[in-house]
Amino acid sequence: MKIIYTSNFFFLLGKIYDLKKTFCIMNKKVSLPEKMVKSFYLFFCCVLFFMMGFAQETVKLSGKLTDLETNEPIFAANILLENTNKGTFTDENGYFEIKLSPDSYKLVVSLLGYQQITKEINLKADKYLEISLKQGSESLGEVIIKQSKKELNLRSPQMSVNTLNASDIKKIPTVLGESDVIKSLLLLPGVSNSGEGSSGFNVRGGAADQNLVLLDETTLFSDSHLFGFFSVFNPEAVQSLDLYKGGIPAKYGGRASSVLTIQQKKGNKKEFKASGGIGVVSSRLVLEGPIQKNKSSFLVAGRSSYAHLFLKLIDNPNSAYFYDLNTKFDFLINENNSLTFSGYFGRDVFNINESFKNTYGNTSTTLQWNHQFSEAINSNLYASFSDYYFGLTIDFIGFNWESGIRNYALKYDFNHYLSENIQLNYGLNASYYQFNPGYIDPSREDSGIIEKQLTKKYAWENSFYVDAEQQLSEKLNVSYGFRLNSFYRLGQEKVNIYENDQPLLFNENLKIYEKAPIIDTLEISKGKITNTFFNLEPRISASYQLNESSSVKASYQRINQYLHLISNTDAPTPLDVWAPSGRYIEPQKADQFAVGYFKKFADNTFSLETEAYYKNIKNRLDYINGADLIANDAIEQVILPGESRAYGLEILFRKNTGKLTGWIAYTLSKSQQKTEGRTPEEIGINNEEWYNTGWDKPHDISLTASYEWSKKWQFGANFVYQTGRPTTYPNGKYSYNDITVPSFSSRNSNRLPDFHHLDISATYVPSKNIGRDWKTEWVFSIYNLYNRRNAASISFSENDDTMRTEATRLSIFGIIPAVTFNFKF
Amino acid sequence: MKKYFYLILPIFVCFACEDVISVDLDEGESKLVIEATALQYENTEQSQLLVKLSETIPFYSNEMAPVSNAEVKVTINHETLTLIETFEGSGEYREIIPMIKNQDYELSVISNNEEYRGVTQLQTTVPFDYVEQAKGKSFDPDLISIEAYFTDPAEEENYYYFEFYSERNGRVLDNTDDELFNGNQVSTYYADEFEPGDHVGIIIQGISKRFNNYISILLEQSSNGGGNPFSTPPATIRGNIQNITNPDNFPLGYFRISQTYSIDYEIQPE
Repeated sequence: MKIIYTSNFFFLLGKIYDLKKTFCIMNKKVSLPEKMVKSFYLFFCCVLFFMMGFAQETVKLSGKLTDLETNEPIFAANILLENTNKGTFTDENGYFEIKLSPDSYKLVVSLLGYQQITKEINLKADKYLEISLKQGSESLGEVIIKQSKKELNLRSPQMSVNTLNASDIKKIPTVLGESDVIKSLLLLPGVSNSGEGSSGFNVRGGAADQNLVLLDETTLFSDSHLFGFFSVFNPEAVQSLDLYKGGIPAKYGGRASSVLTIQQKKGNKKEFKASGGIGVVSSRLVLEGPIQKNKSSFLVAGRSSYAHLFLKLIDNPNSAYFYDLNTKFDFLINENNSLTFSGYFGRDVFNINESFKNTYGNTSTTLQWNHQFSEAINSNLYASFSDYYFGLTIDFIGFNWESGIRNYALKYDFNHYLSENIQLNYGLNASYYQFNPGYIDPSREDSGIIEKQLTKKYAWENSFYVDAEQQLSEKLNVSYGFRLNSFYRLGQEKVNIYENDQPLLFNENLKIYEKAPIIDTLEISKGKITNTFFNLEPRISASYQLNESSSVKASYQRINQYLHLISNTDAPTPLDVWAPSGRYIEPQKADQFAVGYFKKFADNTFSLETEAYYKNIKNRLDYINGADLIANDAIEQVILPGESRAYGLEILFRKNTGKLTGWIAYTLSKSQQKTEGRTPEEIGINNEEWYNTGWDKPHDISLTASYEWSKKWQFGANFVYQTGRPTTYPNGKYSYNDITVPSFSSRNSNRLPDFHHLDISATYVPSKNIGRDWKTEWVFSIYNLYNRRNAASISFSENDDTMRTEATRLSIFGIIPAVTFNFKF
Repeated sequence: MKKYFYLILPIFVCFACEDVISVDLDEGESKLVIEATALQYENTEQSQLLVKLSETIPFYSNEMAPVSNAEVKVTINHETLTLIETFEGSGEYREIIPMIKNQDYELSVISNNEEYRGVTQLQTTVPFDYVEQAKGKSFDPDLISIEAYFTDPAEEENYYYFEFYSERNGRVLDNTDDELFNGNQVSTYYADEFEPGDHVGIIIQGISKRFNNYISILLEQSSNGGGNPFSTPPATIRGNIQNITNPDNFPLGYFRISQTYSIDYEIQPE
């Protein structure tokens, strides 16, 4: 194990070194023309002026909230002024601001997992406070069980967002006891996937490539290990995550369905700490501590599966494993400036008898500079790099394969507190993409494979956004803004040209789609823009507070997606490649409407969130029958643009406090896709009819509960019930070339049997932990307690003995017990 | 090439379990299936055109449904030949036809008062150069692999269909284009459990781009019945024959004429 980590660490360093060079080149390109910046600035001033009109004579109470132990800023804590209806939340930097009329107040600061603080203030003039909160639990697994969620915010116009933190995720029983960020998301309403153990996730009926996954604000292009069994996020290195299913802030864009932001944990600034765990599949280790006390910190987290080591012991030449490395360095420069560097590197490695070797994974790095211009203006500048690599060697055929995508991005975000009633968020975003759809070369001298580079592609995606959050009256809050984006497809070595610009032909007699011949290829320099897309995306949301304990909210969003994952399977596979919009591919255009009703009961012990949504996405790619997507240098020859739609109702009922906490989530939904022909003669896909997507599950119920029995024992349970996934069964068969061939009715018109399972877990904290530094914890879990054989797929084949056709069910996880050991010192 | 990626699958199925269950299936409307094939062995001047007519049957049925008393004709350069049904009820119609390059062959089938038509041309190919045998050159070190080498013509786009046949392991089918090896000497690869002395028949056939696409989908669908979690959405495959009378009631199957070479290889002791 040691050897693996050492070598990978060097590899990571190499990547970082590479990155430095590339960024030097980048800077020249990225710097915005001065004029443009000026005009943006002018624009802001106008908006400012307009909004100032609403402001009243008030004094300002502002401050910063930090964790007493780690000195970290505390995000999303609730700041409340008792006996008024005024309150706010702290931002990512722990900062809060509120305008009040001069008076004396009782300030209540609370966040789940921290001890509440109450403070009397006599406010006569502007006041700045520094507040530290003490963690509220002695237990090892971070915090809590008492209160694990951000309190339901009735006032904020933001809706359709779900937040989980690391301790929530760790409490949820999972397959083989491996805590999993993405599998935890699946328990929330409106989130599904295409079957147990499949990669990716689907939000409100959207496809897996329509999720923007941001790890410390850097895009990740793949989220799974081992083909979807585990997600790439090491739960030990994750602080919290937010999933925006709708009402997506103007700050984010580029993916049609959702935004998942994951914040990596920052290191402890006060003292050195280590924690880790040993599980059935993987082991984890986290080291963190101050570099300079109270000023800077580091965190290094590693995770690796280790089953392959046992294979080595018994001289088995095969191996399959994965590992991750997360790092975060945090420097507080002065009161107004801080720098953060975070990095991720993960790989899956398969080696079968040296004749089949496969490696793939993500690399990402982010450099964040937080600068407070004034008490009212806070800014974050991000420079980030993200790379997805897929490599394969199949020696018995004689070739190596490499493909991937690379992204360099600069992002500058501002939060601007204009007055008590108005907060502005605005910023710029510039992103450069390199696509490598595939490079193939012979793996040995006697191989007949010809070296070939599939045409690399390049693109720029730039955005500017502004978004205002405004309190219009005591009860009505709105957030409105827009995101303006431009996508520039750049020149490439080979651009395929077709007659009449038609890469796909339709044979009207045989009613089949066929590739058009390439009549010419153009060479266009990388510096030239070949196609430009320019789009304005309105984002509006509003909340109306009905009374102290309930509110209604509504939102509308438009999002354009310029990248398309070329994948013809229900769940993405590691070898899928991304294709940018351009001459033959139009951007996906998504519109979503959502309305919701929110209520708190019994002093926030219970909360209810209900939402209904309708989503329509244009230019969703579909693939002609028999489309070859791997190593295809002319993907335009096998695709047709279609549309997709999804609608549904989500109900989330939560118990937030007490010994028993948890939630019930129910989703009633529909997700469909349709691809029409381009002319009336064409047959499109599935005869131009709507068909269910592979993740359409009309009924989806999840129940998650956690119970604190005593200081020693905690229990958790999950129950999941879903309508069976759509599939296509044969409706007949025939013989051709002495092969039995099935014939099919319309696509996805059948369903697998219903999917359900019950999982339980128990966490044991030995009492000798109390009062010592070395703390331990045992987690026992059983997945799929009643051993339900859920069908991952049903296939049909002839039994070799009886020669009869049989249906074979493949079920992936039966009952799986597991035990995990965690430690911390 | 795609199928090699599926070999990844077994690794993660280690927890998985398979069992046979009963699933009720819908029954689609029955369709006419036309399998019309003529194979030119090396450079013979004439070959037999065999047309098999049948109907689709319910998925769990084992009763084949041949179609008799159809009128089957082939027109070559304005000359029309009628195919004779081998015996009533066989659904197999035959005739000897000349093998001519770059010549349109027009097939016409009249059955149940509907007329079906298809057009094809002879697709040529190249013979095998030699066969090599090795052990341990695959996932499983105990398997014996056979590599049959052939030289792809550089000046044209070629498409190939391969068959391996042995008594021990039955038939294994494959197809490919020449995109990744145009003009090179390459091999078709097959690994299985063999004993010295086993005979393996290896066949290479020239096929069209359209048939290459057709047989790819057909082999994929027939091998897994559409249930593979990585598989693409299945759909009924249309071939190169159309229904003139009622275009919506399209037939299944394909009309092709291919040149073929074969080689018999005896497995050698290590």
